Amino acid sequence: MITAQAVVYSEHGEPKDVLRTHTYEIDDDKIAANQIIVKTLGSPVNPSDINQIQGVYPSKPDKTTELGTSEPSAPCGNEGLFEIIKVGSNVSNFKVGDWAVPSNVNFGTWRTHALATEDQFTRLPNPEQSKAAGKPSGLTINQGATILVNPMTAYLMLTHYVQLIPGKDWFIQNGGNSAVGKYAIQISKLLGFNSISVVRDRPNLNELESELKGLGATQVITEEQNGSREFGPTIKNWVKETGGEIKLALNCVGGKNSTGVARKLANNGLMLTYGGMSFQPVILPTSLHIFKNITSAGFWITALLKNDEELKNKTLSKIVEWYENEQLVDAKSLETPFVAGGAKQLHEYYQEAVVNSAKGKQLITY
Amino acid sequence: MSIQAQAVTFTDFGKDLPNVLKQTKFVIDPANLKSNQLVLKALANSVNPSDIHEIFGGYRIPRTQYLNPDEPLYVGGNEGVFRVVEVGSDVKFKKGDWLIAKLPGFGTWRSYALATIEADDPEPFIKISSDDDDSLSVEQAATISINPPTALQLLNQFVKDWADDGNDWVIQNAGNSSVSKFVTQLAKLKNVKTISIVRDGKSDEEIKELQDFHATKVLTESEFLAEDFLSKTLPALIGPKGKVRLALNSIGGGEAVTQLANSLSHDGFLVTFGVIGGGQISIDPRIQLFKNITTAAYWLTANTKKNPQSKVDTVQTLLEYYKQGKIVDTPLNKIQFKENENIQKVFVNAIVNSKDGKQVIFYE
Repeated sequence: MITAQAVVYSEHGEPKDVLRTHTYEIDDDKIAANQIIVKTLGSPVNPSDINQIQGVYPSKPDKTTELGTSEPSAPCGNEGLFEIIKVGSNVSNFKVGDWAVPSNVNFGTWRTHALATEDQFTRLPNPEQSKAAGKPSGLTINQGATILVNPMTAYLMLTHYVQLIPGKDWFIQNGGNSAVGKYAIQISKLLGFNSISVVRDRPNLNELESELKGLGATQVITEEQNGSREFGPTIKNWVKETGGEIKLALNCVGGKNSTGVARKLANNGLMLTYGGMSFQPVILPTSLHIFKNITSAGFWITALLKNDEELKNKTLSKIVEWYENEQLVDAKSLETPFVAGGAKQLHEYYQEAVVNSAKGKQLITY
Repeated sequence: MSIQAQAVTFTDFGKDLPNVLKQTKFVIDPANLKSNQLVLKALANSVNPSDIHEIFGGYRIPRTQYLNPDEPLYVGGNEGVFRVVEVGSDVKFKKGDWLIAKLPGFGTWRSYALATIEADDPEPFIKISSDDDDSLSVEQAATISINPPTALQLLNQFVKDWADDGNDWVIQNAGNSSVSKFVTQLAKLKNVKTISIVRDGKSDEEIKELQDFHATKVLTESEFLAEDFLSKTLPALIGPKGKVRLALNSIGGGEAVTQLANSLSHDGFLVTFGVIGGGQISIDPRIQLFKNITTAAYWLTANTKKNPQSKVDTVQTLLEYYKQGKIVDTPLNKIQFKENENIQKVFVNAIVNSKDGKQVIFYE
């Protein structure tokens, strides 16, 4: 018997009000042939997890009594890294000790253990397996636990819509200092694309600029430069030197900032807006829109990958490969280890993590 | 006998139209026609908002036809039908053919044109009718180059899989524009339904007119902007299976355009075209992400420059629809030009009157 705990809610609301820890038993002697038991290695708090609990996110888990709750409840969390601790007799994709991530959103990753069918998980190499395969490095828990959203978002936005010519073409992004922004900088460098990252002006701008350039940023500009007409020729010269075009803009800020990055686009350029729960409207002047034929579209990884297993697996493998080859640096999380049987219940760890999310991405490790 | 011709020309951009636009007289001598030349006589040509803004300096359409290569005058206008009156020996058109220019920038505001078929552009014209074919009226011919092709391409370029079961909808502002009246007619041919939004205070007759052009529903701006439009009016109108797949914006930006985007169903397109007054489009990022709404732009001139054959194909389709009586032309204000009049004055007046409707100049 395994005593498992999961963070659940029955009513939507603020996490501080509606989360609770549900404790239940998983009978590891009675698992079905296609089932696996996993234990959690780490699961983070993403803004979309919070929005799901609040009931304002368009994708959310069903409320059920599957875990044995007295009233229908939904599990929290969408990203997480798990280790297989038991496999059913017909399970072919996994053996004990393998690492895995949920195949779909809404699985509920804020938990200590889970009983699942093997198709609910996708295998990742654990560090021993990477080493045995001759890779320079294995995945860390943070890398595995945060692989499904931010790095995949960056990779897919850069590759799935517009064909950028390596060595020549450019993309521009606002939120250059965000987690997705930093992945986009690194991945564009790996793919040979030039980048312009817009960041907020700040006292230690030089430091940030060197950090981003260290990750592979071609150019870093401030919001003020993004909005300035005088600065336009400088950007035109950068682009002219490579003989390419700015074909893609990534927007996670909105407002004037979205107008600024859209203005830098070449004719027929595309602006992709992502992560749009809490920011300002996307603003496009009609003249720019019509005469440069700029298109503005949304990027939502959940919808894109929902019915495209192949694209998801291909993207995941690429990110894993870069991590194993030490070509990609993960965005660091603030890690808090969960202590079973301690004074704090599991949901309290996540409630604190939600509050602390303002300071950076929070990861609960097990 | 040589032909005394005149054209409305400009050399600089500007808004002071009576001074910016000039009358230029010129002479065409058919006796000296080269084998690759033809003489065209205007049957009728039109004034479009884009023509005016081109003269203001806003729309930059590369103009191709100078009256005299040594004197780079621009001839105004982009739409109009010409009748072939003389042809050189190598020209495939016949006297009596009705032609329109394939590309924008021809300069249609003129009583005659001497055209040269160059080796690098062997097909600058589309034959749309002839003297012995009465299936197309001069009115239809003179206005087939801009509004009807815009409407047809708007319907076909973004949504490619319209359902013919009556559940797919288009919503459009500027519901009483000429393009909108073609959109409603062309949508009807596909069994696609239309919501046309008009300014408040339109008369019953004006609304009835739009219904006659097959608008499924005509709404005033107040009805459209009402608080319960998205939650009640729209769902009741389109029904549980209805989908608003295309929203057409030709008025600019602001709240009404945001509402247009918010009216779209999942995977819909907001397409902005023909906006002259500027403005900004403001879209809720949540609908871009979670309803997969795409904001796109449309410009006929850009399409035609990129792929001239697309214009030919679009016009051919429209000619077929006119011949079969499937669409009708939209109202216009007819102005009769007389040979001895000053063409510049006729056009300056027509431009002033454009705010009351499309002006078309007919020649004797």
